[in-house]
Amino acid sequence: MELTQKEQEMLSGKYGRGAQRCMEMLVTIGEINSAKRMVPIVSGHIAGNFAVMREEGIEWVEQMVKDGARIKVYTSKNPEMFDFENPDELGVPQKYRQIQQRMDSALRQLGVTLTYSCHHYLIGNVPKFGDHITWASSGSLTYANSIIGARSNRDGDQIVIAAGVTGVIPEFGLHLTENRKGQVIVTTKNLKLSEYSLADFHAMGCKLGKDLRDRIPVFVDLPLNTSIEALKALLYSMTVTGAMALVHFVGITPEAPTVEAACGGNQKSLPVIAITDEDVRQAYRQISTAKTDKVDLVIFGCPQCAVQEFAEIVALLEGKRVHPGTELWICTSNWVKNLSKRMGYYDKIVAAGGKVVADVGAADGPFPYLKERGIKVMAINTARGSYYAHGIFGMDTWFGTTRECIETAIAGTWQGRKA
Amino acid sequence: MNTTRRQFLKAAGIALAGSNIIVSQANSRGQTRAPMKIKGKTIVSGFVKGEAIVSNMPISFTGGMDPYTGIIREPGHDLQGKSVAGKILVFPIGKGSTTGSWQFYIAYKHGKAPIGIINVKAEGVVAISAVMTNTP
Repeated sequence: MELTQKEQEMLSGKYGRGAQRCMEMLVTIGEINSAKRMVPIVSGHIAGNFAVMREEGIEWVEQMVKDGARIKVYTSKNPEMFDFENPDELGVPQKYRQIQQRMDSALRQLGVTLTYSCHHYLIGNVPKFGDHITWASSGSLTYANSIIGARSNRDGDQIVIAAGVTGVIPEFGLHLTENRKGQVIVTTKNLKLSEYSLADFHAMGCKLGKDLRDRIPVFVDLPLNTSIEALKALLYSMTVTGAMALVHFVGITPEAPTVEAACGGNQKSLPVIAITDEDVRQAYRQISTAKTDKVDLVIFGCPQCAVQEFAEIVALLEGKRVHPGTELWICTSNWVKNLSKRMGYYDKIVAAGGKVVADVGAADGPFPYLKERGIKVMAINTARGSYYAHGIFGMDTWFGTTRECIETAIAGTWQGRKA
Repeated sequence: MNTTRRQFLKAAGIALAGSNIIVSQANSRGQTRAPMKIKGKTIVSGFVKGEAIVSNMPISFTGGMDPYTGIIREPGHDLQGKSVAGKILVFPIGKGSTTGSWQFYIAYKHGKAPIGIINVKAEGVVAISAVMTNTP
């Protein structure tokens, strides 16, 4: 790799051991990917949390801080274990509060901006077309690549931190235009899309992700008025069963004004996936993992809820109360929680017996202590949330629409579709 | 690396010295052959010597390996139930979540990580795991 003088100096240790370790990691990744040089980055995002990093990960961050590493590029952070403003109300045991404080302190000293959010692209980390970024967290990095046309590889947290400290990332993979061209044509023309709920889009994403693996798909005929929520549902579920980091929606996303542009001209030689309604129905049936009807927890927020989802949930709760044997959690960022207070949504949800929880995502953060409390069966309206809660923590999950989940919270038993 | 997998499966001991891999081979009767030398590409430099544990399948450190015991726990894996702790781990390529490097680091801090790694192809999660722990 050809390094600039500043990059070589960082590698030599001139700016301290921390920056040197960061540069070593970046050069290693660059060399195994045949990168010719580094490029400057605009922002980063850390996916990890205590659940995957544990005490050892916190120690690694603390050592980096001791070695003098300091992040100088805006770097946001995924959700954590509980709402910093409300641990008492959530019944969070002391041992988790202490470890969370330690994590918070280490990341703060390193220079991370503590958004504790996975919808950071809605609130404060918004790159523009063509920006080089390094975002861990496959859902949001795919959103940035696809919807915005920014450029990120599937980077791990250590690379994100190293890039945040040095300001650069090796130029390979999706940082290069020639690697951003479509590899598989996807046609949705056989689907009765006008009848599709968001949950159906999640199921569609699960099926497509499995078939695509890590290849870049080009949706050639999705209706141009497909909502951003439906696109998010596709991206967030495709990146659970698959490993792509970029999706083109022709006529919708900025690098896909035409099929030719999205495919770099060779669309005729690409394989085609023609997904059917039966494919989607079958994938839908495979998402839920629970077998028992009684539901302990209805939880929204993988990714964290936007304020529009609050409006929908409040309308569905109108005049009703959450069942006494069931908890209802709406997980979101601190930003959206405050907006929901201003709009009256927060008070209505709490009056109905639900909780609005900031700094947390519905996929993993709170499960260590929720499981200790005996929460086992949960309902959620995203496939991604179901996969992670089940796969990482062994939760029994029911998957369905927002309406079915709220009806479940009121009834105490699963009210949606079963296999 | 242009050596066959069968040669790796017969390996008894491996020494890694920079990009030199020296494989000593013994059969079940303890008869040895002249050591095989393979040239690889160095990701992390260093020298280690130890027993090889060999897989023909990709390994994910998140979910596929218990970081507190070093035991491979992926159902259907050819190393399922076996511990990689203290050995030189030979496998084709890494796979799975990018959080795998955090999991490998946990294993390393608990003394349950491999002491050396050989891949047919290097990818990011394994490379970062090796750099974080100074594993050749």
